[in-house]
Amino acid sequence: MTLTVIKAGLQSSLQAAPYRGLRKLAVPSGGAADGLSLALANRLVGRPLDAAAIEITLGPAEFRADRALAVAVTGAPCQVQINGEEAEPHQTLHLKAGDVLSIGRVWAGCRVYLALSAEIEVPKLLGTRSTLIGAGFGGLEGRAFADGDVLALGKQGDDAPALVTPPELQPFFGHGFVLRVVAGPESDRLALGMAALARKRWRVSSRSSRMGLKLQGNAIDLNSAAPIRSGAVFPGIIQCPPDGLPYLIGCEGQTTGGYPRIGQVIRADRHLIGQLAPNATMLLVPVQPDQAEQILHEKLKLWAEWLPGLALV
Amino acid sequence: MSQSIYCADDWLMIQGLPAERVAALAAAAEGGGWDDIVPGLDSLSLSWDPAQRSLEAAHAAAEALAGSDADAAPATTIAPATLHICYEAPWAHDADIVAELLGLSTDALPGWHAAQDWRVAMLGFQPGFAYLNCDARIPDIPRLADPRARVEAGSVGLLGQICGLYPHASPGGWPIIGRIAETLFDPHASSPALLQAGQAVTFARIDAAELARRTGGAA
Repeated sequence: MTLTVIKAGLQSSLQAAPYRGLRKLAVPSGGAADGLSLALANRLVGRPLDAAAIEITLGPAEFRADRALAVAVTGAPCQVQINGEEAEPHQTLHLKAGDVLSIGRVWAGCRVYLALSAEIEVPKLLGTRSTLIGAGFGGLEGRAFADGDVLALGKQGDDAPALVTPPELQPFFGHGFVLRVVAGPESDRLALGMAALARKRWRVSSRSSRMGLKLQGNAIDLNSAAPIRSGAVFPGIIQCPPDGLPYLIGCEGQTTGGYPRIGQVIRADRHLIGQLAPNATMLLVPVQPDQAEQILHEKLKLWAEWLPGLALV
Repeated sequence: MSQSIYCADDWLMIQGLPAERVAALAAAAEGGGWDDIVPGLDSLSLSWDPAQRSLEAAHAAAEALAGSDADAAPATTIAPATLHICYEAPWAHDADIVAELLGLSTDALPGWHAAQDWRVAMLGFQPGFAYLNCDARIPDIPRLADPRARVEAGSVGLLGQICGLYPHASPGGWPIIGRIAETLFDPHASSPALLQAGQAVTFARIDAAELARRTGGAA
């Protein structure tokens, strides 16, 4: 009753719902970097939308089912193979005992989600099975997978009905992203206002992880680069360190910071941060908080039928 | 200090607060339906799920909170914590430079540090990492020019005007003056963090042998 990790790749880990309500203890939210793709994968294998699944960074990675199992692959586009035969993302795949599932290198985007019909049996910690890789707890021993890891599976069967994500709902990922942002608490320090963020095309540097992403582009002019008194940061906050190049806080980013906070990616778009790979480009489009609220409601309405109860975090 | 409210689409921040007001408002915000209540050194941030609560309602609730006389309420119903600290070598790496900045002899630093009434201002940086402040005037202590590759769990540092407690071994740039015996963060415990914002902290001096005994020889 297991799944064997043959090739873990760059970073594969167990991710589910975020840690909730623990930021005052400086515990990051974590969870799936792209919670929408996690939900889409779980939907295809009949599991709760935020059940624990495998988050694969950039690929390739390889797994062996040691029992019959239904699985589904979503997120960044990549080649999917079962025993060397082509298989499709965004549909329920039935594996027999001994079948090898291979995930190729992603063509665009950053993270692939592999959901299983059976529960992955690691203990829940502080309410979730998500791995906080930076803090070193949760998930499988608080770490990313290593080659040869064996994941214990629950009793749930392989009889998940065969489903396909409706084609019009399959997210498309390219190399360019548009993220909408509201002003941050220190946006008034931007010498050119929010236009300083909007008028540039930003590139994601190789210094990127679940904790945060360093952006490249022309340095931003601040009226004052003085540090702030340490205060809260949340996933999606854009900080401006003294070098003027923005740092975008990821899902596993620390809970407080001392650099000026010059923008905040809106909640409706935050799942896209999980798909930003090094060299991806992005445009930051300023909106007002009430517009951001409206955009979230519209996005949730779009998903309500296929993913009932979806929460974007 | 003037208080104002910053507002994003799913969190807001009451800013410009004195430290004791942060603790009082954080306590008053409990049970108010917020997803996260995050104290900062001079701010309190509150987050919510826009699918559950409107921006308008969240803003109104924060204004009511900010305008309340929560100061009058006893913010510190939290029991004070006593931490056992060893100021001896090899745990007091940077005692010399910190003592000099404070205008003290190195020998006098432990007595000064243990005599202050410390209070947890906030947790941040890494799970369970506590920022403590006190009423004494402390000069702005700078970060180490060359950060350490490894700071042991339980290390006690002074930076800016803040005393910081490292819960986990990690790289770090805080000048270190001692090490405590207590475990600050255990994700397997029902209450994972030993300290919380608003809590009073007293340091009790122990020697290196006692530290080794209390930490099971790990020191």
